[in-house]
Amino acid sequence: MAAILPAINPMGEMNMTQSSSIKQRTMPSPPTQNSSASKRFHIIHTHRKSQGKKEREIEQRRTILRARQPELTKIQTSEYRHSYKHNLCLDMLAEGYHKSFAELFALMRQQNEERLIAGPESILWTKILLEDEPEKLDVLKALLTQAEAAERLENYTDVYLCQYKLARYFQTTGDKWLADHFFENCLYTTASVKGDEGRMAAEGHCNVGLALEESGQYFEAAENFELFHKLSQSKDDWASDDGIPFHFKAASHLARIYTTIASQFEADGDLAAYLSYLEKANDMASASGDCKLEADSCYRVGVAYEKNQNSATALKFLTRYLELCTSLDDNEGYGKGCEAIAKSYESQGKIEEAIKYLEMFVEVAERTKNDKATSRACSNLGAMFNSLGRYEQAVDYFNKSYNISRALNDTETISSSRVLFGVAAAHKMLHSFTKHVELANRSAMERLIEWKDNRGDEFDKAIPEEADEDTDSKDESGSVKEEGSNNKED
Amino acid sequence: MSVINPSENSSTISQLRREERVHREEQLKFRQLQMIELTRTTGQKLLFEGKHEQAVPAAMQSLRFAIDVYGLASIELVPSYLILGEASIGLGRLSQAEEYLSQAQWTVLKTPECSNAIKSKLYRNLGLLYAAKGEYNESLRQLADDIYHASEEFGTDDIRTSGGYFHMGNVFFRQNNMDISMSLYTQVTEIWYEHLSMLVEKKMSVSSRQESIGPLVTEVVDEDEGLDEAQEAEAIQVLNAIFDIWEQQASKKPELIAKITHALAMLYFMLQDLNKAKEFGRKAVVACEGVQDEDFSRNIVEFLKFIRPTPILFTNMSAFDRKDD
Repeated sequence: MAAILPAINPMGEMNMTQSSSIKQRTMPSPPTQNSSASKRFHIIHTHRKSQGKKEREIEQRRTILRARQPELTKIQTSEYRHSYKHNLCLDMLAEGYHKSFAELFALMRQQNEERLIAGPESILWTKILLEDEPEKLDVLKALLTQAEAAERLENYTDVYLCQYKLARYFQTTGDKWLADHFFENCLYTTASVKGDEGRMAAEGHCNVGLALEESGQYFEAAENFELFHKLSQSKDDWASDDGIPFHFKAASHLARIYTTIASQFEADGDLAAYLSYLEKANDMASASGDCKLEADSCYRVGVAYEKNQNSATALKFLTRYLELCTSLDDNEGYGKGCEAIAKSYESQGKIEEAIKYLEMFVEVAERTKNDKATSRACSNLGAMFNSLGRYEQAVDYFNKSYNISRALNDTETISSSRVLFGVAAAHKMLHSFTKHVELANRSAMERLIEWKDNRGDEFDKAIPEEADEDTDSKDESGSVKEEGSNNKED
Repeated sequence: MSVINPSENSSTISQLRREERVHREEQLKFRQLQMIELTRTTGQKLLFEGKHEQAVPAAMQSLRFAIDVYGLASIELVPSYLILGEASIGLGRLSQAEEYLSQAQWTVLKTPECSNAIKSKLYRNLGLLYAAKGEYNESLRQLADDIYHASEEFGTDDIRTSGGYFHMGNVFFRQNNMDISMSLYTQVTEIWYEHLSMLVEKKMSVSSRQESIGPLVTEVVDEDEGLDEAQEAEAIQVLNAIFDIWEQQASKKPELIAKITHALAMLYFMLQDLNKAKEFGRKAVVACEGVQDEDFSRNIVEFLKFIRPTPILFTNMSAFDRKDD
């Protein structure tokens, strides 16, 4: 065929005879309906006349009905014959949108292949195929053709918008793979958008990063967020719909993604990487302008360093955390911070500082009427005093803690605080108890028996001057008691 | 030929004869199939070269062979009918073309398991017919069907689908819809460019391994990956047509001109027509100067360097011969 189509010659029928003779020799004419019907008609007519009349009536009715049927256009017949997807593709192609067709075709093919690869047992087989869902196909057709028309005019912003709408639509229908595909397309289009200094590219990176994060590909997501951050660094006027500037958003996304990656490392046991990512997260959080985020990350870093036995750095972060909590008026956080700092000081051996912070914790907890926290705070403080030998205070605090847990009816804390309380009380009593046991005179023994009997605590009273001979048995019972309380102490 | 034991010998002889007969029949069938294929390809090639008169006898012959092998109403006759139809369109005999194509369409309809490849060819020819009649909308619809079936069978970026895109581009061009036709022609160019690049790369990697200095660079590319005659003719027609159109509309997009000239250069290289290959290669280099893409121009320069050495070899050898005199 020549490049230019031949002249249109509707009347040009030269050499009809020659070709028709060839045609007759080779091409059988398709059997016409009328000839066979009429043959039937004639045959019957010769045999039975009555039957012929019925046949004629039937034929007549048939022709009348056929005439009544509407004329179907070619498009209508093809709609009847072909599947919905086929017709949709034909519509797109006939209008010249071949790229939309190619994209849609590739998507459907990809879905089918994924199904096959996954094997007959996978859940992919229960999902309805894209080609069987008319509404989605319609949306795809409408937006893809719009995008292609815009692309022809090189209006890449419109292309981006269409692809973005598609991605959003598929997010609502729950087709994550399609949403991801279109977000990536958006990003690709932004490369062609000129003159807006990369604002669209930044948006594109953000969306792709979010999509990747949802799929669990954290490192790629982090890359995209980093690009987003880099692009929006100095541009303060770029803001999203809710008024938050881009670079803040970028920083907060990065903080979040770094924390996720860090926790993965922690699970794997790679402590160095864990710490480095947490620190990165912290830097980002402080850049994001979101105090709460920064506070949380400071706390996490502090605790991590503490776990890693690096108390000095831990303290630095935890003090910053306290500052932020005060500015945020976050009392619970403040309490948590105090507790962590106290632990850190304790591990360093600075008990006094630890006690100071724990007292602050108790104060704050009481102020906010956070009973659980108060109970915990009191227990911690009690334990601290216990280890210091300040049993009086220990007992006081444990008493408080126990009462609160009883009031809360919190079974686990009840048992633990009860035990601790008992231990502290025993320790408190220990000194006077042993003194009595050593004395072993009549009043001492009476007191001991009193205590054994009904826990009457008379050990603090002044000891009358009397001697007793039966000291050995008492010694044994006293030593048993001492062992018992020692065990409890452990 | 002993007569002593006639019964024994006759049975072996008849067995031999039977085996011979079967073998001969198989051979005959094989040769017939080859003939069908050959005549069809020749017919198709002649069509692409624009020699419609000559294509008719080739197509008729293929039809006769096919009827001998397959019978009168078989689906295997359809490709031959399609070539006849296309030749008729080329000669301007549209109603005749319509009859041939209707017959083909009827056969396809009656054969539900008909392959997508045959359907695609049928719709392509129907599209050409309607375009020749001036019914552009109907033609577009038929060509859309062609592209759809070709994509189902070969994929959206295959050279066999590219024919559909090309004809559709032509129709839009006639309707004065320049944007769409440009976009379609670009797609066609891309498809052929990719395919030809792949073929040329294979050839380059093969001949770089060749140590001996042979008189000619022989065709070492595998048969099934290279182009057959009809495809070669199609490529020549399609790519030249696009080049002509773009040369006139020219300078807006130098990268497109660069691409089409490069593709043409590669095509003529594959066809051993080195003069034309060099000519188009030069045009490509000129067009490249407008393009910023570094890789693109590098590819063309490398390609040209690859073509150049062989003629130089010839000139040296002829000089050597002359010295000996």
